[in-house]
Amino acid sequence: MSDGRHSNGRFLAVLKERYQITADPLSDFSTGTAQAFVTLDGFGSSTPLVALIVDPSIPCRLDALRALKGIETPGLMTLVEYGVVDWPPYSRKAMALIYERPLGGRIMAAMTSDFARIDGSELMKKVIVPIAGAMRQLAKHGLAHRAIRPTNMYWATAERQAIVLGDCAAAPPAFDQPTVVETIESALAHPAGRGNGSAADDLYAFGASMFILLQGRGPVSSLNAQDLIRSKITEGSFAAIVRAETIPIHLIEMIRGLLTDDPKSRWTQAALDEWIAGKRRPASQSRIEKRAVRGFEFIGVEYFSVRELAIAFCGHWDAAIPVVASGQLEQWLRRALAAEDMADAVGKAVDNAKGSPLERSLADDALLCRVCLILDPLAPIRLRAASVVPRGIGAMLAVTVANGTDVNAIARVFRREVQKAWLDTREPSDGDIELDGKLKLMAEYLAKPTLGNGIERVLYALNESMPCQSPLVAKEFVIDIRNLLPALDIAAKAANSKKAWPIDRHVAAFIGARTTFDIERQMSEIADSSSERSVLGMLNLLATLQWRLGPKALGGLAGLVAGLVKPILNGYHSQRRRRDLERNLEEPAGRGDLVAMFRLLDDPDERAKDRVGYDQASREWHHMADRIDQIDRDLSNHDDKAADAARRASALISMGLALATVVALAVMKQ
Amino acid sequence: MSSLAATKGRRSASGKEDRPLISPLLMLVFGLSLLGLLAAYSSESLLLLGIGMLPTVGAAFAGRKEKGVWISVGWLNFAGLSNWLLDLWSSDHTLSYATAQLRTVAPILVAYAAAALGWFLYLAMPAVARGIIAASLRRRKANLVGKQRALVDQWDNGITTFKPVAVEKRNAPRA
Repeated sequence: MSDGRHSNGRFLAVLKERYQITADPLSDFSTGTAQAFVTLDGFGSSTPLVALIVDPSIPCRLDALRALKGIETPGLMTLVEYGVVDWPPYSRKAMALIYERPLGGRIMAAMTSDFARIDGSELMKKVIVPIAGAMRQLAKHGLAHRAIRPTNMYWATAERQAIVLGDCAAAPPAFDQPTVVETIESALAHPAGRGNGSAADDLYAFGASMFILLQGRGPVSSLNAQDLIRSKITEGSFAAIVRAETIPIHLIEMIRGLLTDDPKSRWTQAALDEWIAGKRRPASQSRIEKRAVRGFEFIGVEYFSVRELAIAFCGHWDAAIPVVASGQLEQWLRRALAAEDMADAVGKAVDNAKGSPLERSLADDALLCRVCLILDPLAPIRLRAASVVPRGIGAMLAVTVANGTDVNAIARVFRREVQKAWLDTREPSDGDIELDGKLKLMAEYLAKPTLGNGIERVLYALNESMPCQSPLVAKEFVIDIRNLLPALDIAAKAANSKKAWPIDRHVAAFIGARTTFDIERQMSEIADSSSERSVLGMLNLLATLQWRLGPKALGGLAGLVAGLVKPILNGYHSQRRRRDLERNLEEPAGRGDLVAMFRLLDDPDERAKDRVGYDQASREWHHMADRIDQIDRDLSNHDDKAADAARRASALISMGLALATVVALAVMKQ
Repeated sequence: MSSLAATKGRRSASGKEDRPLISPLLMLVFGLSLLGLLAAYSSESLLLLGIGMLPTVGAAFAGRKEKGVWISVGWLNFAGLSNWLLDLWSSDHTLSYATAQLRTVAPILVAYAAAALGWFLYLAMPAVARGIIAASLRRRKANLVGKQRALVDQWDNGITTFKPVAVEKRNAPRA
């Protein structure tokens, strides 16, 4: 698809034969996971466009892209098109998102930069109304933006009369969100593990962003992320963010309502709409974390709230385990905090951990994970280095794989005890059963080490937009299963070795996660210890994919597979049949027809004939061997037989000679 | 004749019971009948045969171990003597003529030489027979080995180790 190499009137790539992506960068629109470039409409439209080329190792939000494609609203950058393009700078394919380009520039270059503040009197018309409208539209599509922050807001026009929200699909939800605009519980999670979230998260981010727009600079810049979270916990988000700054009086109510930490008390979209419509609402009060009468000393620091203490435990995991197991925590909860229910839950968790059949270290980890969830039920699952909400595990796993870091920390989250701890410590919701079933399934995949399972299967099962990471097809950016075989075909044509298997762990897991038809039998055959069964399973799987999804011709892949079928041929006993099959295989392999190749090599009639012939040949061979044994015995012991024959022969010869002599003499004498 | 009778019921090394070439009883009846006839009608022939066929008689008694040697010796012994017997029968069938012929020694020499040839034939024949039989067996074995090799080439070496059910049953030790 790429047709150009530089920006002088040419372009680097073309999406869907229309959108011409040039090499001219648009740094204002670039994000941590995507680079922006000037884009032209090949059909001649004058609408300015920007293309975001997403980092191929990061899964983008396909669900968001599907929803955004149909949304046109003043407060949102309009998504024109998206798809995969050949991207020369990466020397591989990548996802391109084409947006209508706002012309007024970015509001805030970085969270630490200063910018022209927006006056309180203009904020309603230029920012609140359009963005609230955008959030309303997104909510109708069941989507949370999760990237509402001043650095992702643009003036829609050069006249700077209204603001639009930037892209939200080029990264996992809330991946680039700074702590200040995220709720406490979301900020506690790893940026990639925050999950899709909800409109409540967007409203919080919107409230924090409004305050920053009013200030013209980033707030609380002296605090690092951890300090800011602690400050939000101890003082409440509104106080932690606003501090001593001034806010126009008519906006205080809105910002306070949106920055309420309790999700149930936080303003909803409806409340915001009512406020925009002029209806006054009672002021929300930030719920401050309950404080203990005396502190709990841990690692030399006294903690007075359970959420703070949970954060401290997670930061010093190994030191926290004996403290929790000793019962000190339970005692403190009862005596200093009067949190009887919480103390009971902690006590029960400690007792259960003592009787756990798990290995000690695993049981301790599960205990501390559960205790942290008891102390802070809104927080993500925290297990040693992992901090993630269940619906964000997939994205976090994807980013971990992309970074090449250890995935074991995430794999531990799939332990049943951890999942149960998460579900046990929060109020039941509609999606719990589905979530529980999904996590259980992931744990099953992880438990199986065979091809098509393991952490790779979990990676693709939880990330719809994760391209297949196999080195064989990584360049082709395969998201859709229908593109896998063509990508493998290209890889096979380019392969140096004609003996390389076209199915590795990533390809198998990708197929397992993306197909809707049953391929368990093929997968188990691939894992078979017999090379014949294994190769046959591989061919069967590829043939099934071609039969179901096409394309009809896969010359490169078929050629590669034809070079790998020796074990199948060797499975036939008849040498002639092997030669015939090898010769007959050339035709379908030349056509790229894997289905015909499989049918040829796994013909049940041919196999039956081969088996019968083999049995018969074996029987004949053994009969001959018996006869040869008999001959050998005769050879070593044939004197008697020879003597007997000799006696008869000598008698017959003597008689013959005698008779001939007598007759001859008789004739002569006449 | 006793040597012939003695062969009855003997077993060879291969376990087979040796069958006499000619039934001993038949031979006895035939021999006695011949002697009777000769004594009654041709005492001249009896004289010639009695002296000329002595090697055969000797072979019959000497060949207890060499079964059937008297037959080979006998036939050729008779062939050697036949010239003079025919002369006796066709020219002068008298006792004096028979005696005169015996006195020339030639009939005795020829008859005995022919008998010796019969003995030699008997002794040489086993070696020839052994050679012929061994060659035949080797040819059959080579033929079978060739067929086995063809089977292995057509199938694979597995047929030499894989045993179909029928073969396994056949080779199974009997209870």
